Amino acid sequence: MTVPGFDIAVIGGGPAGLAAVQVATSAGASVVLIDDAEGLGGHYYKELPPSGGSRDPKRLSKKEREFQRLKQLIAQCGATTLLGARVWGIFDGSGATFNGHSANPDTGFSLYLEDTSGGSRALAARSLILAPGVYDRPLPFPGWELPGVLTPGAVQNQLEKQGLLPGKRVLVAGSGPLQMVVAAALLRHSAEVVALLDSSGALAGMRDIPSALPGLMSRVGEGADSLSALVRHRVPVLFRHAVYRAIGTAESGVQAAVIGRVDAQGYPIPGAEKEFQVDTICCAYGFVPSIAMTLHLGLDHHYDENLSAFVPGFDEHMKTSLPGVYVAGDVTGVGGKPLAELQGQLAAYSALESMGKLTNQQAAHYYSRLIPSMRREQRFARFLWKRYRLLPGLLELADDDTLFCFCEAVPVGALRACLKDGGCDLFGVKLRTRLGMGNCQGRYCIPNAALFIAAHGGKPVAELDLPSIRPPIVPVRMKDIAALELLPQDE
Amino acid sequence: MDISVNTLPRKAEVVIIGGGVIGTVIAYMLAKAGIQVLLIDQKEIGSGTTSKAAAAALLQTKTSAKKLALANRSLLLLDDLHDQLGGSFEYAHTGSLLAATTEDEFQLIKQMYVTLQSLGLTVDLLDGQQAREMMPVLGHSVIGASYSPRDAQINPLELVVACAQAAKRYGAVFANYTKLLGIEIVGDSIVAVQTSAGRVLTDTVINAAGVWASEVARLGGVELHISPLKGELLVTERLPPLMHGTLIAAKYLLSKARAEGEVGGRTPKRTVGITLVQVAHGNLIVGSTRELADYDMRSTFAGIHELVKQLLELTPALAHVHLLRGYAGLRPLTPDGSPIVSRTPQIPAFIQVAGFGGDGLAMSAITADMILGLLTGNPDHELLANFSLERFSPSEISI
Amino acid sequence: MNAFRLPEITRGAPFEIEVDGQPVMAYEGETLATAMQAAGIRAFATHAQPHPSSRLFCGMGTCYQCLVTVDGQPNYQACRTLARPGMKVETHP
Repeated sequence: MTVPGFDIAVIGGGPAGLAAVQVATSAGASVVLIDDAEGLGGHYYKELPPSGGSRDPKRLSKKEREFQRLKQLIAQCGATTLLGARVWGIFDGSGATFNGHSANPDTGFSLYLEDTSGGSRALAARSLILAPGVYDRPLPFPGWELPGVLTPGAVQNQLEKQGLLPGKRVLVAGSGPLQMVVAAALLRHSAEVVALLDSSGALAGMRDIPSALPGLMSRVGEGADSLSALVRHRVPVLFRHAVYRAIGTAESGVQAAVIGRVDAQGYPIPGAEKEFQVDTICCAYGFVPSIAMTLHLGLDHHYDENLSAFVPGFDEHMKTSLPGVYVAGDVTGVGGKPLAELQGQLAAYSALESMGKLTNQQAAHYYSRLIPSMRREQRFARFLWKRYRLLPGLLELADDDTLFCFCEAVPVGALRACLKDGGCDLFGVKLRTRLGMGNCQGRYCIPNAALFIAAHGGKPVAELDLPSIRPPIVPVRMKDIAALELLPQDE
Repeated sequence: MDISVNTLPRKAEVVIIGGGVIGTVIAYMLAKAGIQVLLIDQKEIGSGTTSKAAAAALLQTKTSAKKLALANRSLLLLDDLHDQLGGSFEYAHTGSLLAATTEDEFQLIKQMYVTLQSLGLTVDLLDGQQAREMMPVLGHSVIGASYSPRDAQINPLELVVACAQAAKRYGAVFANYTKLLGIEIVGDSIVAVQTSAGRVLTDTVINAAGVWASEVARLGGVELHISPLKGELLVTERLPPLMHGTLIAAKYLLSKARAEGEVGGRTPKRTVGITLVQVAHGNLIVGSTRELADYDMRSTFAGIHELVKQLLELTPALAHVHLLRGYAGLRPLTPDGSPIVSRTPQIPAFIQVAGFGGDGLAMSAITADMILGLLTGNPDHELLANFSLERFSPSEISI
Repeated sequence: MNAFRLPEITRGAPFEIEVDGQPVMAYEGETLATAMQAAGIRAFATHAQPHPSSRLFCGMGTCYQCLVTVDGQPNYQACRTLARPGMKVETHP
């Protein structure tokens, strides 16, 4: 069977991926851009689906206009774009997963994808640029399983991609640069935001502002808009506060939220609880880089203390530990759009150089322009995550009955029992409790489990081995696997 | 909160190397009999081949009178274990259905049926329609089957954990992440073991190290030829109860026989034999491939693809079910395909319990019983004679 | 009822889907999660989930907490499945 082959497969259609595609195609590489959403833009540019109604074109914001231009460029640049397509497995020339073995430059990468509408496809690529982004990091607390408890990403997606206001009386909580933005968006659409909680202190991370100033200045406008909306609507902003529990029923969902103070380490300080009547709790604590695919490829990862998360290793040319595989964007360190674009470009120049479509001299020219800018943006990112650092005490908001792993219904108590019984790492916890063995393949519970283990006397997080991710890395219907034919070299 | 790292005792009557299903069931039975046991595992107990097992303990697939008798006795012992341990380890005699899709396969099943009946195993022959009534997920490609009600399914990890917990209650000590570094031998006796967590005085060592049994044996100067036979398996999402018992494709028997015969170093080929069982949590476990791939446990597209294709040929109704992951394990095989449960001739106190292939789960109880007999002065010589190291030539186990 | 369609958006003609036997309105481009939320249905229960309820959580297809049965087939992510005329959705199969 003939299988489409490309020089570069870019996985992820957010700012990093889009930047990579533009650079790669401009040098004449054949490029396929793959994203599992129905539209491009990742989590930065969000819009209604083409068939899903429209907003008044005269009232498009600067960002929305920028996105329209970008989409046009991508449509015209010669790349093949596959939307609604999930990569479920990447195999080497012998049809086996990578797991740390090096890629043969001649046989490259075999990718298998499932389309949202059903059906599957295979394609081959010489190089991969992975820009899978991040997802919200929710932490468990009593009642978090109730309908109406959502992540900020869910609220944004509902508002911007679906034109739906998910709740009328909302508590926004957690920590991170987006909470303010989400709260402002809710207010703009006439929801009531009863309070905005931030588990960080008001002045947290401020010592690092000087080094972060250049990056900060470019974002001041965005932040100021959100802040003024909060002030206008007199939304109480409570620092060093967190949601203690959600109250409601399984059928009707959230009806109230109990909030309380936390100390500088995030530990609850009981005694001053407040209850708000709400129908929605929007809560998450920062982000988790989406590393399922990078783990599946067996790339080296390390723990980023600042982010409190594992990230794939990469050098200044965005090369990872596997030849032919590059990373770009938030997955490397949650640095926001400017950094993502720079890294996308860098990764593409790097890939082009490796495959001889750019001379070393030409590539060096681009590196010398991009790398200093990248470093500046990374300094900003470091400041940001010092400000919104994940506090260890926040894990104590959950009680023993609180579910830690939804997919397998593993309560916190089971995790504790496993650790008490001598388990000390993710492998043992997964084996004993089945945590991470469900549909989401541990995306939500494994990162939290790593923190929990470290906080409860197990190995420090940086020393934990991440469990292996086996294909398919997203659940795939068996008919969609059977329908595929083997790529010639996979026999 | 302190995590208790198991501190090793200064001495132990018996040291067991390997905490898979074999090692832990042995540990339980010995500890219950009052023997002071230390079990060490290089990782977590149950994390080796046991964690990859396809969860079934089958009777009707045994190809000889001896193997059947053994499997039968083992299941009876597992029944006892089930009662004693109090935990369920999801053990139940849910039966197995061996399904044929071709006339040749059905012929084979009919021949086996005659043999099994003569050996006293109750098996029912079914036509395609009856098979589908018994197991509605089956499609119309099935033309006949044999049903064996006594076959069982188990949760291997829960069995390991249940045995370990019970063994600890009888005074056994378990140490995870503890590797055997050496065995101190004086003359033909064992004096102590060296581990990564310290030295332990002992005079008996049981090698139950699964696919790593050769490595462990070598530390005692013994050469065991254990080859890993790789198997890929699949796990689906959780589903409502839709089948009872284990489905086996008759092709499986051919696959098993061929693979075990090929261990003598021939060209590695991948064979596929479908087994399907629904575990207590609702997931379906689909087994499995067989190929010699050394210690490579990587998933392959071809392995996943072939398993899915062959499964859907048998059970087209499962086409919409989501696959959650493919995984792989290594079955430890001996040169003749039969396990080793034996003292080492040169060092009698170094006991090899190795090479159970894909039957470790089913054989665990009877093996532990043999070891118990051996160490309490009550050996079942007749049974043990089948698994002795002495059946191999001296050069195959030379020091 | 907590979820509301934003009024400033121009939508096409609505169509009907069925949720647990009841008619629910949907517009083209909307996911099942959106149509159901807008109809006041935010608790879905599925047989294969070990915990009591299924619901919108991450809204981006990574958490698998919003599973529903569609036209007799289980485990569709409501937040990723587009509503189509005549679709039969079950939340308590």
